[in-house]
Amino acid sequence: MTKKQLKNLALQSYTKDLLDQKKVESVARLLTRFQLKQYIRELRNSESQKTINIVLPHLPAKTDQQMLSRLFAGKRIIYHVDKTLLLGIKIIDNDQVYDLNLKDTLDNLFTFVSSGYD
Amino acid sequence: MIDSQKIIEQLENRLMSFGVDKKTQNMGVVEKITDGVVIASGLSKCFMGEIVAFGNGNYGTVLNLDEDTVSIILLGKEGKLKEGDGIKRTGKLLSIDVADTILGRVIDPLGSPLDARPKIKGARAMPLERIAAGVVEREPVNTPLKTGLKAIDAIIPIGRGQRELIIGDRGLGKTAIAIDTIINQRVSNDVICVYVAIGQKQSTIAQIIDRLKEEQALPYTVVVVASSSDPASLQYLAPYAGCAIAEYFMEKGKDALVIYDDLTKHAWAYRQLSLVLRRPAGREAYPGDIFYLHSRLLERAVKLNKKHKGGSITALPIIETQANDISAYIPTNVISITDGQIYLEPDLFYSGIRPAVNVGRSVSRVGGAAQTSAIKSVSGKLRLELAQYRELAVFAQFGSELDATTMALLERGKRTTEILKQLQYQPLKESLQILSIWSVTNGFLDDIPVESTQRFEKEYHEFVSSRNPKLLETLETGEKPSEPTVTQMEKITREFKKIFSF
Repeated sequence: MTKKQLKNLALQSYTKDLLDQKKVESVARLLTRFQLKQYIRELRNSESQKTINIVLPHLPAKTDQQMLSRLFAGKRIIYHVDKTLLLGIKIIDNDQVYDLNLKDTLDNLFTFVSSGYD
Repeated sequence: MIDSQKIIEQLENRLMSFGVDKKTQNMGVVEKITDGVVIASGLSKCFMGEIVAFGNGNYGTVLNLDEDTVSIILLGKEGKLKEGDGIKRTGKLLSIDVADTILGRVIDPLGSPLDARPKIKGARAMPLERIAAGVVEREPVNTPLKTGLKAIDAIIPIGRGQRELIIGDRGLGKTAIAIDTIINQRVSNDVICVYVAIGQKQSTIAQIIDRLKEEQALPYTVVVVASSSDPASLQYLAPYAGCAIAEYFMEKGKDALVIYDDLTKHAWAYRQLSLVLRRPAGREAYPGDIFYLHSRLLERAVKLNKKHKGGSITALPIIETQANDISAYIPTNVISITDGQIYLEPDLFYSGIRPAVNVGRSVSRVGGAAQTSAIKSVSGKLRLELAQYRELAVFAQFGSELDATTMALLERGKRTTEILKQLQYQPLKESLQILSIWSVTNGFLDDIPVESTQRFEKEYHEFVSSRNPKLLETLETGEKPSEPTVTQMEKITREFKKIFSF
């Protein structure tokens, strides 16, 4: 089975935009070990493309959650709490990361200043 | 005692330039690490050749863009890199920081100092990969680059802006020719030298650096080191780093000399990277673009016209052959790229002819355009006599009876061959080279025993330097010797011969 076929198989394992456990199990039984690894990797990639991870220093209010859902329509949003962010928000959309928080700014400042000295 | 006020001022100045927008980042994740190559997922917006930063502080450069993954070569050791580690884009292509203070330094291909001195400050970032100057920006090679070696300056002259390959088996003196060339630039002091050590032993590199220091050649030289213990990625980048440094000086209107020692190991390093990147293997397992690897490097050796400040880069690539085979894949590739080759032969080396240059099979495609009139006037006869000697030497081996003319040619040839020998680390000024070659081609050594030729030459040089230094100054101007100059040369040579004992 080629890589492309396994990728299609992973895309077909969804029902109404959600991963179908029965389909996944039936497919997994038919694959070799190596193919199964590839299939899992494709499922993981597919999941990460359908999911947005939002990191905040505190849980957002309902109005904020609604606004974010409208902003990322069609994707599943998972909220994480990380108090070390201090202020702001961090949005992880597959491989694109939007760092709009105070912690990141301070880290960048530190790296910038220290890189100028031996 | 460092003034705290000064520290605060420095920090404030530094912070004024802070403002890099790092709000959005395209991240990747390490999937696999094999032999210095990282396969990563994500990084969907990175471009070819981009530098990426790993979580452990290491850097890499993107060399393959596949549908779902990206292949990155590590610029350094693997360290504590593991599967799942994050990778960030930097948005920059590979470059090296160069400033005037880089002269005399020993650095790695990324610009990090290896000589226990501070980093290069106030530098300009020179890209490692760059398109060579176009046809319109160039002018023909017309200025000699003197190596200080008689066999090369007289018969296979090198010009500034030329690519001249030094090719031969191991241990025949390829690096020695390169080092002598660097040492000889001490005389004119207008050529910046860059020595790129690729895949060599660190002990050998240390010896070379020590020798350059001893001969006071290091102040105008930069040494770029990617030794055999460095990753293949650094060995692959080293020649491009050396060329980028030379381009910095060339753009200021200066002449630069780059020595790539050696491109065989460079090809091996690239082969290793390509095989790990799963690129299709071609002849001798080299990748399909092995020719382009060297052609794009050597094309950057150029002589710019006056409109572009008139600087130049001369390249002396070195190729190591196996069992004298210059028809192998990499040697033939590089021979077809360069403007000539200096071919070193083991038979000559072991028979005591050093530098072991086979003048019959060596060539400089620039030729007389890279010679001064002075040396051109004596080298024509030298070339002819050597060619005749080579043809006749075969007959002499059979022990057959030869006529007087042939015997005379053979004897002259032996003395010519002897005069072209030269000790290592003793490059000669052009005036002394002219004297040596002129004296042998005009028969002044015909009555000197062959075994005394070298002693004759040494004492002859000392004699002329002390008795008539103005003659040397006249020869040093590069003008073809006039009748009065030739008369002076004849007179002083006869004077010396009277006192020379053998």
